[in-house]
Parts: sequence; structure tokens; C-alpha cells
Amino acid sequence: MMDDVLGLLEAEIPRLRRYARYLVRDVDMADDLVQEALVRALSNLDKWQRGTNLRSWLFVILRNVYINELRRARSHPQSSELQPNDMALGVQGSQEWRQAVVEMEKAFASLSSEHKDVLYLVAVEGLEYEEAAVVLDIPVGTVRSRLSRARVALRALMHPVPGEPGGEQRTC
Amino acid sequence: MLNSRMMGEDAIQQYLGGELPPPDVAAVESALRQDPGLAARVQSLQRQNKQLHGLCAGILQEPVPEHLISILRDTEPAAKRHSKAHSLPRFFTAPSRGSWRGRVITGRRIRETWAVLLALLIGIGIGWIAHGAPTSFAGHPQGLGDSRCAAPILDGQFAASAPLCCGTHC
Repeated sequence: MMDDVLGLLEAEIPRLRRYARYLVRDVDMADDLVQEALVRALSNLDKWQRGTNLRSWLFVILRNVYINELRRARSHPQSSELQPNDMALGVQGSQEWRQAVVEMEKAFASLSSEHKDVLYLVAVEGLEYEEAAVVLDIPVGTVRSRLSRARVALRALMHPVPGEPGGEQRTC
Repeated sequence: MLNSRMMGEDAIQQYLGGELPPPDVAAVESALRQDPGLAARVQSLQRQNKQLHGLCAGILQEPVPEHLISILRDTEPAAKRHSKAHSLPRFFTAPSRGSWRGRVITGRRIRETWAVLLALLIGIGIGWIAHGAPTSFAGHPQGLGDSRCAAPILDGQFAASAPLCCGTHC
């Protein structure tokens, strides 16, 4: 029984690495976050309820590790190299598809962190609204409204109206 | 039940996210058939979703570092808890102020300090008595003043295993 849970955990490592890479730009630091999250997940495996989304449970742990480390970094600036990140991406596929995703990447990076957080968890990672709410520790209604505004903002960035602000895109 | 005039951004989001109840899904799909502008908006959002799925997708294809997998292969959670300090990543290794690791280390150091102080005091006391100090303490007429008790210390053979001289026997 333990083995199948460990198998599920192992299958989630790439997703954890991607979320960690979203949170911190540095690849090694991201893997450090994942390592700590896995250690904590193993220590608290009895708290995970079968039938619930393991990914969102792991994301909660990972995010808590990240937030704790950020707090420590702020109170002890020399003790950590962690910096808040905007985005770190990897793109695959055809040339046309890559171009579209790169455009999306630029637009995404221009969003506020609140918008990026919900959009990332729901649209990129496929979490339910309720699960994203738990990961971000915000009400589910806030997830809905932020997501809605994030999509509108993203669309405006992808298809800017000439002469209106929002047409400028920066590389992340 | 939704009608086409209520088809705001939220309803569309929920439709795309599979969050709408079946009657509302039917209403949205009916509205999509009747309203080309709405259909175009939903298509645009679906395209946006696909592109968002493409973000960071390359990371999922990267080989997972062996040290992350090995955490799971060592399958004893309790052992992991105990070895946590050794397995922590580099920026977690220094015990933070007030962390449990810091407290454990501090407690051990305090005990060690007290043990050294106690041994020192006992040694000084016995040495002082052995060199002609009053041969009795109140309540211990013979004990600490007994020269036989000081012998191991005077001979330089005092060790943790030596019996404490606190009565009539050594």
C-alpha cells in the first residue's frame, strides 16, 4: 500500500519541479524546495486522504516551504538566495506553436503575481478552483474573480488594442 | 439557469473549467450556437487554455534528479524524520532561531556544561579537603573529609567511572 503511494508521489515530482520553478527562477533552488517538500510529505503522509488530489496536497506543502523560506530570507538576508520569481519556462513543439507559447509566456509574465498564481494553478496545472483556493490560502470566490480578471488581462495583452496600455510585453 | 444575457466572463470560465451544473452547460451550449460573438470568445479562451498548458511543459520532460527519487526509495518515514537535518537542502541546513533543532542542541550543551561544572566543583572540593581543610561538614562528619575518598583524584586517576565519595565509603 505504501509502495503505490510512493509511486504516486514519484509521478508528481515533475509537476512539483515545474511549480517550484515557477516560484523560484533558479533550477537548483527549485529542486531544493522540491526535496524539502518531499521530505515533509513523507513525514506527513498519514495526513493525506486517499481520494483527494495528491498534487494539490503536495502543492500546499511546496508553497508553505517556499513561503517559510522567503520569510526567513527577509529576516536573515544572508541566509538564503531565494528571490521571488516571475517565471521560468520551457517550451516544446512546432515552430508556430513555440512562437504562440512564447507570446503567451511574455503576456503571462506581465500579469500581476495574484493573477499569475491562480492562472498557473488552474489553467496550467489543472487544479479545481477549490484546490487552488487551498493552495493559495484564499477563498474560492477570490480564485474565481482573480481568474476571470487574469484571463481578460491576458487576452488584452495577447491582442492589444492599438494606442491602449498593455501592448508592451516584457521577457520574463 | 443561465440565459444568453447572463453569459458573463465567470459563467464562461466555469463552463470551460467544467464547473457548471448540467442545466447551465446546456444553456451555455445553446447560447454558443446562437451567438457567433460568444462562440468566438469561447474559442479564444480555449486557445488561451491550450497555450497556457504549453507553458513550462519542457520541464515535465526533464529527467528527474536522482537525489529526489532516492528520497522516496528510502521508504521509512520515521527514519526520514530523524535524518531530516542531514537531508535538508543547502539553504535549510542552518538551524533557524527557535527551531526545534536549535533547541535540542542548546539543551544538550546546557547539560554538558552543568556536568563539567559539577565535576570541577567536586574536584576542587575534594582537593581542598585533602589539603588540610576542616575534616567535616555539617551533617557529614566523616564523608567529604575522608582522605581515602580523595585518593583517586590525587593520584590523577579520577574518571567518570570513579565512585563519588559522599559518605563513609568510596
